[in-house]
Amino acid sequence: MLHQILPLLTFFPLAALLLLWLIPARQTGLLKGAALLLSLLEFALSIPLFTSFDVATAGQYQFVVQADWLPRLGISFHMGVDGISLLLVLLTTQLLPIIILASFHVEKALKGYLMLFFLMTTGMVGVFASLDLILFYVFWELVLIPMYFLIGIWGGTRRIYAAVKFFLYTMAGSVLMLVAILVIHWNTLVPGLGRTFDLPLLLEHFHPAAGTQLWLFAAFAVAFAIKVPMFPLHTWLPDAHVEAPTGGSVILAGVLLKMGTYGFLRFALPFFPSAVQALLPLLVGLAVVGIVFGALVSIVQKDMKKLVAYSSVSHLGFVMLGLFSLQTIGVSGAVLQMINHGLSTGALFLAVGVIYERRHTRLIADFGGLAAGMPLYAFVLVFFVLSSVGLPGLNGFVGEFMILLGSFQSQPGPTAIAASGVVLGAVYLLWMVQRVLFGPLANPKNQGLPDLSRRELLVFAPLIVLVIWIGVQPQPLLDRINPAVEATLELMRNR
Amino acid sequence: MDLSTLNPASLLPELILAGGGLLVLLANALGGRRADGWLSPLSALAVLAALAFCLFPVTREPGYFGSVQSDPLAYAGRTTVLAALLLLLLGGASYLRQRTLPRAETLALTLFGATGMLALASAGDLITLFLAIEVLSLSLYALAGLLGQRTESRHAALTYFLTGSFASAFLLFGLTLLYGAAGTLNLAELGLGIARHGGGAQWIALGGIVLSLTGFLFKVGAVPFHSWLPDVYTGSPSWVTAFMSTGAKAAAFAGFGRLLLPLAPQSTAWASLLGICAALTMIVGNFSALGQVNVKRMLAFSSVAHAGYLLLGLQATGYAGESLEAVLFYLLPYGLLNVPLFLIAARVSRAGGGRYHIDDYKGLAKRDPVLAGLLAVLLLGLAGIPPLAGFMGKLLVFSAAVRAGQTGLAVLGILTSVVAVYYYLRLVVFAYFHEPAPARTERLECDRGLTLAAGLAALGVLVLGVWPGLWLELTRGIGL
Repeated sequence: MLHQILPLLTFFPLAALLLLWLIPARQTGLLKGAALLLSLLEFALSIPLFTSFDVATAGQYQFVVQADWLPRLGISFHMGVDGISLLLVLLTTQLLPIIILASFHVEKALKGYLMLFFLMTTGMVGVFASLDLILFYVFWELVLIPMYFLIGIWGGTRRIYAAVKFFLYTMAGSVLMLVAILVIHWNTLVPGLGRTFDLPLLLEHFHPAAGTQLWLFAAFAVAFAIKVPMFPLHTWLPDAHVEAPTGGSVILAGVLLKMGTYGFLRFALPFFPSAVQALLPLLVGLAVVGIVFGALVSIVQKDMKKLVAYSSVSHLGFVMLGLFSLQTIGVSGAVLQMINHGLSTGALFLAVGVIYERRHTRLIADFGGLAAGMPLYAFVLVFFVLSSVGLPGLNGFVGEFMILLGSFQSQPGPTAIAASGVVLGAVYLLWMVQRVLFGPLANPKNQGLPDLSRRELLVFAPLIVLVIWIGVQPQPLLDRINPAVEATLELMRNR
Repeated sequence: MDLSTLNPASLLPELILAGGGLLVLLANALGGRRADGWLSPLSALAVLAALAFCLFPVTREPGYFGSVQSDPLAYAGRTTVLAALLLLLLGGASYLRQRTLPRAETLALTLFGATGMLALASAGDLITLFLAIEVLSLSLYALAGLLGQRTESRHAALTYFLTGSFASAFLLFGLTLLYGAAGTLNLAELGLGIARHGGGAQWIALGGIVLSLTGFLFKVGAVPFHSWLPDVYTGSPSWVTAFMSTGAKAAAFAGFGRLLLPLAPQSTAWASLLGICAALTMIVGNFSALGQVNVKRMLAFSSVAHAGYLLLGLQATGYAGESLEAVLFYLLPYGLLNVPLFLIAARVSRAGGGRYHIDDYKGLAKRDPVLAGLLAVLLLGLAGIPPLAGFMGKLLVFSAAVRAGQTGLAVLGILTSVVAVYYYLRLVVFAYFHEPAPARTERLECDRGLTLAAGLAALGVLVLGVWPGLWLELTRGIGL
């Protein structure tokens, strides 16, 4: 069974979706139970992926499956994970039950809401596991549909605008990647096989001229940069985040954005090393601008959710900076930070969702002194804010430190500016905490708000455990990330 | 002459359809109103029989001394037309019942038109090609005017007839020149014939190609010969529009694919011309559809845009014949998607006052969840979102273009397809993200036939998208 685990993880959510479909929409209790059970099952299925993963060969693809799909066109069903994609798959599968559990309060069309998350999981796992360019592209686009409906149906007041903007923006970016994929396909002849869309084979045999490389890289980079999002292509993100329902925001920040950074690491960097070198100043510059810009904009936000959304722009800037350091430690830090951001920012969106549910507002000015009545909530919010700002001992510190360390070796100047983002990050997040949790409990509407329920505690508990675990003991993750990163960088050097 | 050398079995699907059409007329004449209920099933039976003989052909040899082909190209073209027609009969049954369309005439003319389409897909010589086009065109002219009591329908029929005859004249002149240049009517020998005659024949042939392509571009509604299309598509009864936009288009692309293939080595000038038209068609079609509030008109412009993508594939056959396979693949999901979409447009519009206004879609997800869900799938399919077959069609066509070295055209095509996503999604936005208008919150009565047809189409498009090999293997060898 183990060698089929990746297709299983990819398509089990589809089967789960069909099962949920059979349950009548009125039986909400049964729906919730079944959805939670199925999501836990998906997570349980992914555990062997971690335990059976061979750390010694973490730089190579494992659990590989390859089957014919469209042999005449050179498209095959090729899946496998190395140390990088392994962790991203696990990030996806562990967020699923958390989101399902956090979505129990949804009243509008609960059944459809739950089903869409399973559909999204199929797409996301598929993106991280695919080793065929067309297969990858299919999953990449598949993710858009459930997210579009999540924002459009369950979103806030400007949901339609946000949903359409999200869909068109990300779609417009990724279609050019498809043309670039086709150009790669028709310009590569694999000896003895002919034309193919197979990623490892193309990486080995595709040797474009420098000029072509630049254009192809641009096509890939735009697609991924929009997803990340990199400054100045980030404008869809605040809209999508603010309007999306809590679960949608969590998955958006937690996993969807990582598809962009993952794309850079897996495709754009190894395929086009000389283009990356040529454009490095621009790329690093944009990453740094993103860090500082995102942080500055976060400071002035009045809406908590918007603040967290812009903080993502800043944090993902750090990830990009780490990737473009092209040093093992910096890139490994970036991969670790992808996971960290998925956990911490996902949790922050959940935390914002908790008080939005109670007060139906997210304006910072409407709150103050919540800590008195909601001590558990205060703890959770402070905890994840600290993890986000990179408090030593928690997960964010390790990633950020490694990124800055790696980046400083190759880009000392920009790194110095970027480091200011760490300080600014502390400013906007802690300031928000101060205004929301502490001070006098002035607004009478905030009195008597119930603290976290047992269900909500259960939502946060696994995330708290993971944040501490990674903060204290990042080595098991780094053991898996490092060899894969080295293999990727090696691939870049050899081309 | 021995009848068996004619191999009449090669013409079996066409004969069955024509026979079915005659039977429908006969049943109506003899049975009067009593036979009304039997007309649709009778037609469906004829189409099913034709489809059976098309999928499992009795013969794979050409017939009538090469005038009728039974090759993969004929196979693909015929199957596509028949699949679309079957969906039309299934999904449009209630449309026919409720409209004031004369049922027997509509069905008979539809079957006659389909006969022409099938013949066009399998035409092996210039005369058969032209005859087939005329058979399908004349049927469609009459069909477009069937709602003669309405001005738009009369207007549509007249516009269609005038531009259509104009196009036929161009086409005929072009075919004549080709015949003169090649000295043969046989499509497969055109290229060799022109080459044998050398110098001057090349130029005459080029003139012939340009003129016949002009006729062809008129017929499929490609820019700059598209201006008749929106009015005709909007004014004709939806049944007819659904048929025109799918069957006629599939047949035309199959027929002209066969005409152009042997000419590829002679000259790629026509390919460049087609490339320009493809670019214009994709731009004009998509951007014109963008602002429409009349859903039928939007779908009309969308089918202009799709003609552009098909032309993109067709021009690539000038560089590699196999590219025609991409065009033929594209046509099947396109047909499966478009037929139910036009019928759904008619259904929703009937519930909202017959204006085909986009406001009628507000809250459709609440008023008829099943139909709204299918509508969303069909629209996403037309938009080319994976894993639906619309994506595979686009992938193959763009891949063909890149292979032919037309990366610029592929980029243009894919960017305009993002524009298309906007207007397709707009319907989804209205159906799902808007609440129903206060006056129209009651549930729509379920139209079983239409729901079934749309469901089959959605399933077909999903299956074709996930396993495109099923269809690609069946039609293997097109353009070789």
